[in-house]
Amino acid sequence: MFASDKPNPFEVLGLPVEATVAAITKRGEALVQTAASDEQRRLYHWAIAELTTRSSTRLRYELYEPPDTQYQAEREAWNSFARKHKINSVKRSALAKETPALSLEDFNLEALLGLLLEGFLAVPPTDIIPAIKASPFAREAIAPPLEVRDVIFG
Amino acid sequence: MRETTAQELEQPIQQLELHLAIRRLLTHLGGQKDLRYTPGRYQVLALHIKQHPALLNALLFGNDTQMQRAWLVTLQDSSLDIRFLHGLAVAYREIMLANLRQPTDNLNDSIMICSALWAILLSTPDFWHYFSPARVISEDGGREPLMVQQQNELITTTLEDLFSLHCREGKKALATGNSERARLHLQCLTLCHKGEKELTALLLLHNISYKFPVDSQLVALMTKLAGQQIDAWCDSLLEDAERILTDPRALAQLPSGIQENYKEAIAYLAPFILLDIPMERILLTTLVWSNLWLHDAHAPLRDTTFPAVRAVVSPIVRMAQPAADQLAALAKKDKGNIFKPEVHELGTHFHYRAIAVPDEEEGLEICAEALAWEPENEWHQGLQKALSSEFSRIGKYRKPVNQPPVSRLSPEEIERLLQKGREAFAAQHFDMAEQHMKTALEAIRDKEQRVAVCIELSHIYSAHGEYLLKDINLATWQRRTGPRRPFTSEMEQAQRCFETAFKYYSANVVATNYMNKLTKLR
Repeated sequence: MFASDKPNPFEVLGLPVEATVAAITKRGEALVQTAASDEQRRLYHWAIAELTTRSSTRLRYELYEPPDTQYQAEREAWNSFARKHKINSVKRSALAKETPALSLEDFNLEALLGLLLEGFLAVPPTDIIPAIKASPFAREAIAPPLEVRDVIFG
Repeated sequence: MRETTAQELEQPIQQLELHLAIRRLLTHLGGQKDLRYTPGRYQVLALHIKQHPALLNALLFGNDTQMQRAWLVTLQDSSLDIRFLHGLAVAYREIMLANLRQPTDNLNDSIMICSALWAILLSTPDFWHYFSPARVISEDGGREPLMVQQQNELITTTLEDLFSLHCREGKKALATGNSERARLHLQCLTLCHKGEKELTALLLLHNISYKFPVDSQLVALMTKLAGQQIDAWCDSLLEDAERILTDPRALAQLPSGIQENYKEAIAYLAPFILLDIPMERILLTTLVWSNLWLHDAHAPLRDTTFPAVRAVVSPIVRMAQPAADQLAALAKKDKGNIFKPEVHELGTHFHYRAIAVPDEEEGLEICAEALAWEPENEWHQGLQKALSSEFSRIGKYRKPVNQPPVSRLSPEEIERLLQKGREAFAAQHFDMAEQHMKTALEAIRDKEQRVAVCIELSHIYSAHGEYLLKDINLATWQRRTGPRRPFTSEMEQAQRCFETAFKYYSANVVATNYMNKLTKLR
């Protein structure tokens, strides 16, 4: 199978199978100019040559390319998004303003009810100190219990 | 400063989700986790994922079972979309190529699906109706449809690409001991060689219901090209094995009497045979070599008692057994058909296998198998008698009469035998003529030549029968009244001659007429 170790040249250049020779050359040269490494540059040169030298070779690559590729549309959508928003960061408060208010449909009532009931049934940790401190009786009125020395010495 | 809105985020999020879904789908179809993928490439798959929210959901959040269930529904809904199937075939091809680059991993079913899908798509007129328009760049830069010739060239080169890849990678896998990989490649080739029905069945097994009609000429082209690659694989194997067989260095070290390096040559072919995808040429060659080896190994034996012969033939028979069993399964409809060279080799193999087993009853059963392949073979008949004898434990094994074994006769020797047979026939030495012609016939591999010699043999036998009846008036043999006269020994022998003549060539009119006459007289 030919060039099975390399990606499809259309994929390398990010072009549709309908691309003209001029478009292939133009895009290829632009990529060569901005290539990050020699290896990548060689790959772009190879892709241009594969698609522009022999029509039968190009035809085989067209067959091995899925229909309706949209490299350019995807690329442009991301680029335009990045251009617009790379400076302006996302603000939660701004997004919250746009977000419609929550309605009953947004909740899983069954799950919510479960959580609520569990809350009711749960026994809270025991702490009687606040109760003692908040006693309705005056502290003096309560006689302390008899102790041994009270009996012997009076 | 303007801030990013939720609405603006929605579209990129959907895109990201789709990329993730496609990536997961490629992995689910058998791809590696790090399979290369450029956004926008599988738009055709993305479209179908979007149309099936359950699939999108399963790919993003589900487990393997949920993905498979949702993918099944998508496959069923999309089975009539040729663009979807094209996209899927491209995806499978890239999965297969990426998997092949991983030398240690075993391949998965994706390789079979890939081959089947490409082979059948390229044989489908609907595919070409979609693909061919606006493909060729004209002089003015516009796009024109593919001409039929260009289309056929594209089909041929694409199939050759695919099949030669299987042949090359299969050989590589076999050489490195990866039988599982080698088997998958050979299976892909045999699948495409078998044709449309096998391909659609395989696809259906993987839930791809292929409903497009195929072009019978394109299917024929596909099966032919797959067959050529199988042949090329077998050719290269046999060439290497023959080099081993006649390797001078190995020959110098062989035990006396062994004429060629059979052991290593057969061992070289064994891994291919053990792939369990029967290839007649490889099997027959293995069997011919093992039969020659068996002959060479026991020919010099002085002690020809069964145990002594068994000790020599057993290891050789064991080596040849997988090849013989596969060949027997392939050729079972040809039992007794002397036109087929494999019939004689199988008869010989089962003869030796009958000796190789220590149990006499089992030996007799195997001997019956040898006779089922060659019912007329006197050598097998002799073995059957010897094994049936109560003295077989101490009885002597009778070696084959023909020396050297027929498989080893050169074309010149065969021609010489045929000539001797014809001369003997001209001199009315029928027994000798029949013997020479039969020996020559056993050695002939070419089917057309076999047919011609069978016809010649048939005429010799019928002439022999006529000669035996020359002094007998068949018209007046039976009296009009009184008891029926028994046949003379000449008449009995003549009847056997006509029957044999009929077996060799059923359109022999002379033999048929005499058989009818003699049957009435009985």
